[in-house]
Amino acid sequence: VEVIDLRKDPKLAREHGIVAIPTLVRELPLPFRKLIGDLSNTHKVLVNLEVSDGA
Amino acid sequence: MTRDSSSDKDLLIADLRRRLAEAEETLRAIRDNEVDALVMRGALAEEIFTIGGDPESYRTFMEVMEPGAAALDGSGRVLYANSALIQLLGTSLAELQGKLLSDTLGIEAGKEIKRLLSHAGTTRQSREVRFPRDEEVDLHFIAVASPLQLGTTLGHAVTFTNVTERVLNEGAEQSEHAARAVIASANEAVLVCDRDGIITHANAAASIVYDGDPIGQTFAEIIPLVFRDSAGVLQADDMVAMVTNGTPMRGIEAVASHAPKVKDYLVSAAPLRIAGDRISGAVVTMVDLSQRKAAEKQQNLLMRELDHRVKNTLALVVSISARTASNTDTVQAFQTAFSGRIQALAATHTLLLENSWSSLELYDIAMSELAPYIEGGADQITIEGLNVAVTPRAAIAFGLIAHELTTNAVKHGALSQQGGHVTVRAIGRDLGKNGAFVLEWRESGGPRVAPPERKGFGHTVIARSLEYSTGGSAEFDFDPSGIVCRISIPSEDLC
Repeated sequence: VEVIDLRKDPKLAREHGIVAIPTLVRELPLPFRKLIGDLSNTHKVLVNLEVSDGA
Repeated sequence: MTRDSSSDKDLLIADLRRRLAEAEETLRAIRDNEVDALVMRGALAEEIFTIGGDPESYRTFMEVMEPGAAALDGSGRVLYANSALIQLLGTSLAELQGKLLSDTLGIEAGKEIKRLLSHAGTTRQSREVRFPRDEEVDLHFIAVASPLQLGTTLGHAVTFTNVTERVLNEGAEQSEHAARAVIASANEAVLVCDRDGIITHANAAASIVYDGDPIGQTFAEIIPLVFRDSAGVLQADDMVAMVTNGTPMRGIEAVASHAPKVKDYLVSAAPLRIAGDRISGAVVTMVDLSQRKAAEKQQNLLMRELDHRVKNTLALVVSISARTASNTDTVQAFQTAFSGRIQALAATHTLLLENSWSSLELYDIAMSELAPYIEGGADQITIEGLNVAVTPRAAIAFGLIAHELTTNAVKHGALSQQGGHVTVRAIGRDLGKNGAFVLEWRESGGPRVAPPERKGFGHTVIARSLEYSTGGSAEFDFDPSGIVCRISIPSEDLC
């Protein structure tokens, strides 16, 4: 997992099509998956990633 | 429609669906307040806009605040603290961040902060917190905690306002109240002067040294003091100057000539220190010495009186000795007569001492002489109407007379044999002798009486003891049936 501070490097936001902070981007495995907003609930985040992965 | 074009279409629809889901997710996150910042397309490059305030601007704001301030997360851990708070805690931001604030404050203050945060879940709360310091004055703070939304989390903003000075001032004010109460309740006159000798405070008791309002007046002018032992060298203004220069003065006698009633005082003065070591005036205490002076006078009087009485007594003893010697033939006879007379004198003295040399009743004096002979023959003695109080000098004289009469009665008169009787009774006032009190000693039933061939000392004592005054006398009648003696006590010696 790479943590990027977009305030220091706003260019990267365009490359990844990010409009809101925080956003978690899953690049691999495909397809791309983005989780936006509250990431403090680890369980919810993981479930979301896995559920979308299976869809 | 070919298979390829059908597949492209499916992909396109999937991509559109994904992008729609992403857009909806973004909107939901924004609506649900889960987003900290948005990326906007600027003129040159992307710009980041923080939603709900920029942490940097928060921090800048916190830094310029005078009170110590910290942002805490929901569990009370420090996210950020301004330099005022860091300085107060004597630590660094790196040390502080991520730690529970309550753990960094010491036991007592930590407990207070925990309590404060637990009450400040939804509303602003405040509490006074004390930071004990070993050698310096404790620091006092008002800690205020308010709920604070930090991005997506709920925490607390906590500020610490230093109120040490206010607390100390309150303490000082209370001390001043107490000091004023002490001054007001003192029985002594208490006056406070500033460095120029102007009176700034005075208690109610100060009215005995100055009849009027002394506030604002110069001490030395309204209360000129003359110090007894300084021969006029030291005066009231010198005293104030001396004390304001740091030399206290304790218990010096002075005369306040302008004081309304009492003039004699015991004066003490101490430097007044209000802040630190600087002397800002003098506190003068004046104690009324009139009672002590009166007691001293009384004592002097008593000492002179005692001196006078001792000399009188010694002269009496010398005279008794000489007279006894000239009337006795043997040393044995002298010793018996002399010690009897001295004992009579001592008995009267004892009675006088028991009455603090004030007055005695003739009855008591007569009894002290006759008592030894009453036990064997109670019916031989009658005493009537002698409950008359007399001065010490009459008491001593009557004591000696009673001794001589008793001794004579025991040796040669009514008490020398069975059946004899002595009556001592009051006759009354003799107006011819200026109202002197007359009493009679009458013997009966004893041996036949003949006038003596020579006058012994006993006779002389009896005749002369009361002749110190015109009203005093003792006369004998040598009645053959028994001696009769009429004794007059001068009217001025009756109490």
